[in-house]
Amino acid sequence: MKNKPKIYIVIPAYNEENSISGVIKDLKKHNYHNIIVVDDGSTDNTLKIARQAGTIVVRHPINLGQGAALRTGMDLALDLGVDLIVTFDADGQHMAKDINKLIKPVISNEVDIALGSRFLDHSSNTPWLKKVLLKIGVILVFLMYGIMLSDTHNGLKAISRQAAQKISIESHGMEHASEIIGKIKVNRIKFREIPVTIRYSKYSIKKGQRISNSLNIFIKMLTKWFIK
Amino acid sequence: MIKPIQIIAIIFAIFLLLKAILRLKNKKLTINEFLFWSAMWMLLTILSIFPQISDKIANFFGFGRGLDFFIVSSILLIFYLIFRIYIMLEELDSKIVKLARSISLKEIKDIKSLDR
Repeated sequence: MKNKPKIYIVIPAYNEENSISGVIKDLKKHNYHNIIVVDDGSTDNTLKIARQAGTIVVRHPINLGQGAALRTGMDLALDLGVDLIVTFDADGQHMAKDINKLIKPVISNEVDIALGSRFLDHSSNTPWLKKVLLKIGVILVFLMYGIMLSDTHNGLKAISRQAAQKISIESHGMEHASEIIGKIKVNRIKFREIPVTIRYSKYSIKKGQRISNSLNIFIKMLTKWFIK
Repeated sequence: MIKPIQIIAIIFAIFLLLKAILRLKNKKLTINEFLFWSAMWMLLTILSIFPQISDKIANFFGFGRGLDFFIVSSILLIFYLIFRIYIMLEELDSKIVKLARSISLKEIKDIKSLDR
């Protein structure tokens, strides 16, 4: 990859008015100024806040789901001539300081995708029930695609332009996480997991995946797998 | 001895057959659809008049009674239709997402081209 790659941070956001400005400030503080916020049909002030914060904001007219929002953001970034896309959550659970070590192996062309993992070190205070569910996800992904990761459902990823073009996300909802891993496998994309810290605040736990929703994701993963 | 249910079924089938003819006249049905539906209703009429036929068909497939055969094949048909509806919904969902995303991207590109 060239010396000064064009990096875009893609943030899918749905009703994140309480956290989005903090997330953007944190990113700018760490010198990431190319930020695309995809407002996924929010009904609160997410759109206004993101625009005022000086980011590129794409708005979905209706709520489509995180997978669709990521795809819109990635498509736009590709259109703007991006070299490296970093996907980042809007609820404040990711840290901008982690991006630097995440993008390093991609910039140096060692891998095409760097996947953030909260389980490679002990910096994340993952609640135990969340841990169990995430590990079930890990096992399911292994059974489906034969790729053993430590953390399959982490929104923090660094993706090279070439890899982003190969991975065009088709899942609209949260199943995109396993879909991306499936596409990594099919397209034989080089990847590596990088330890990142997930900050579990009361807010991000409340906003994050509800436990009951895990079942939903699981069913969608299975039906997709069977039908396609 | 003819049973009341037979008479009801016959009237019902003839009524629907007439409807199918009417829809064909108004060009609401294609000729193929018309043939399919009229065959269905005529079959219903024939089976209502001669219920023994359904027993014979059932016996052929290994069912004891015509009604059992009817119920089992209905359930299979319903499963199939649900599956088709599920696929259709997924496709529809994909189309809506595609449409909404293209609107969003067009909007942002318009804004960007105004900026320049």
